[in-house]
Amino acid sequence: MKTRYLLRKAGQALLTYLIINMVVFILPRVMPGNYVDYIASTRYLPQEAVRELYAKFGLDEPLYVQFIKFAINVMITSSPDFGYSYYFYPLRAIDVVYIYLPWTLLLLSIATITTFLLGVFLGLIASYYKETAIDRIITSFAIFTMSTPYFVVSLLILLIFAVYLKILPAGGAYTPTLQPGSISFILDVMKHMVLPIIAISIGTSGIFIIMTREIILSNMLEGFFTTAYAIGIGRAKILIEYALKPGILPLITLVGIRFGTMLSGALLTEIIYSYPGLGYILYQAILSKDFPVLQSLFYIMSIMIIIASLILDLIYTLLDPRIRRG
Amino acid sequence: MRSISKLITVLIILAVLVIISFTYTPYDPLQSSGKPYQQPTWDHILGTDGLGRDILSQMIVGSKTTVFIALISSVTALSTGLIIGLISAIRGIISDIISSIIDSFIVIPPLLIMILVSSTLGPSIISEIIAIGFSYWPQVAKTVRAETLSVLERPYVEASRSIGGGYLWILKSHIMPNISHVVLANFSYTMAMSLVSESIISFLGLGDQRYFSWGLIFYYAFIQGAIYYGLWLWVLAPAVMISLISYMFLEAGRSIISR
Repeated sequence: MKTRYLLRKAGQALLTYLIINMVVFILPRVMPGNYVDYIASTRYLPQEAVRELYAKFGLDEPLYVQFIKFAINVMITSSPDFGYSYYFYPLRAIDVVYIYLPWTLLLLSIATITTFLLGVFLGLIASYYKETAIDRIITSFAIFTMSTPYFVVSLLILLIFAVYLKILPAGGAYTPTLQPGSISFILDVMKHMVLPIIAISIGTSGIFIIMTREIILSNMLEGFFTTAYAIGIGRAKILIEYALKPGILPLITLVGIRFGTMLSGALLTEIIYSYPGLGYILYQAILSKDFPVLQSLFYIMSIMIIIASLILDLIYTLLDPRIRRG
Repeated sequence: MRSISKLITVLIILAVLVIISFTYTPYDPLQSSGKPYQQPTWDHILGTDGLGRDILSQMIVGSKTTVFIALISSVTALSTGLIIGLISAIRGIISDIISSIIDSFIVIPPLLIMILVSSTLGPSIISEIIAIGFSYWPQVAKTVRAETLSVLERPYVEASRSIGGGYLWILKSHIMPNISHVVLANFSYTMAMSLVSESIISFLGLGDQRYFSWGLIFYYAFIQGAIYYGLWLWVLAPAVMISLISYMFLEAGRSIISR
């Protein structure tokens, strides 16, 4: 059952991968105009040069030939050919994404954990004080974070901590004057990471708060809670031991489902904090109409999401006794 | 009926905003009516922007565009999701394939799809609508499918099928009435998300810059440095309006589900 479950998940991931490749292939081709037309429209090019460019990029061939070439290219290099970046010209679009990827991975991996912990913690408190003012405040806060655009949350936190209190740096990922690799550099990087992580955690924890609360409250309807009360076990212990623990598994699946949302939050937060991650090049690419970079970004981030949800499925398999012993 | 009342209230508020935006603005939102970067006064309650244009008027005019985009795109997402969800609930190999496709799309975050679609289509209201509508259908389809499958399990549906009711008959008389609350809750959800998404698209500079929307006003406030001039209301007015209205929609959706 374990292998069957994992195989099904892997098949799902493969299907997602195929769909993403299809979207990346189809979308630029159904739109009027392609990148050669774009280049030709921005400067004067003779007709022969345009035809030569068409032949060079293989755009004069019929669609199915293009698709076969595209598919072969994906299989060989494991990513489609997005061409060169317009803005960072001598670099290929996909390489631009790889250069900035580590910062986002660093930020996101920490933010995922803090978001999860914050959401579960607040959800636990809300369900402990069920149907009191505290519960209502936390629940409203959760819905409010879902209904507020991420960049508003980021901006408010930036204003409070960096502009008024001046206790943390306002932007960037490190102080450029420091020597990379030294202890003070690492501390500096961590200091720059605090505000973006707070912003991402607050901006995306809403669904975790709501779900934790719902799961705990629905578990508490079960009969054995009355027994536990009757025996005289404390309320906090009952909540954590008997209501939260069985509910941790669906919450971990939720991390997999919401990973994309956290990634979106990270992108917008990076723009506000001018953090040199994928959000930064996303903004640059939009400003300079750098379509190859935008497509590569979409591609790489989708792959990140697929991998993340596969990893979470693996964790789920290791944790769930029903699957583990099956 | 109490559960729908919240949704109706929000819709009435939006309708009033749109009616006001068609009939009355204090100043012409496109013409200069005061000094640039003016602090809030009684003449300009929210202050003025870098060209001396009244921000309150921009907010009032912007509500029209914002509501239009949110409404059309959420109806697009809702109807796409509803149709695909209903088809995927029919038993058979095709429904399995469709449901796997829904599961694949659901992990791709809406923001990525929106950026890809609206950057490829270029900035216009139509492309915003397509981008948002194309982003949120998987969530709708998934919940519609789950609810439809649970309705199809019920004994009276089985009874109806046993006396020769076809799929369309069951759809009309059993499924639609029983999933209507899911559809309404999804409508509230997609409305809330469309409002937020519109502001995100505008904030990234991918929105239509010919018509004022709340997202676009926030974008202008951000790039024209409203924070450095201390024009708080310029930044806060669109942000508060967006989060307040979508908060009300999310609350409405919650109260429909937990009736």
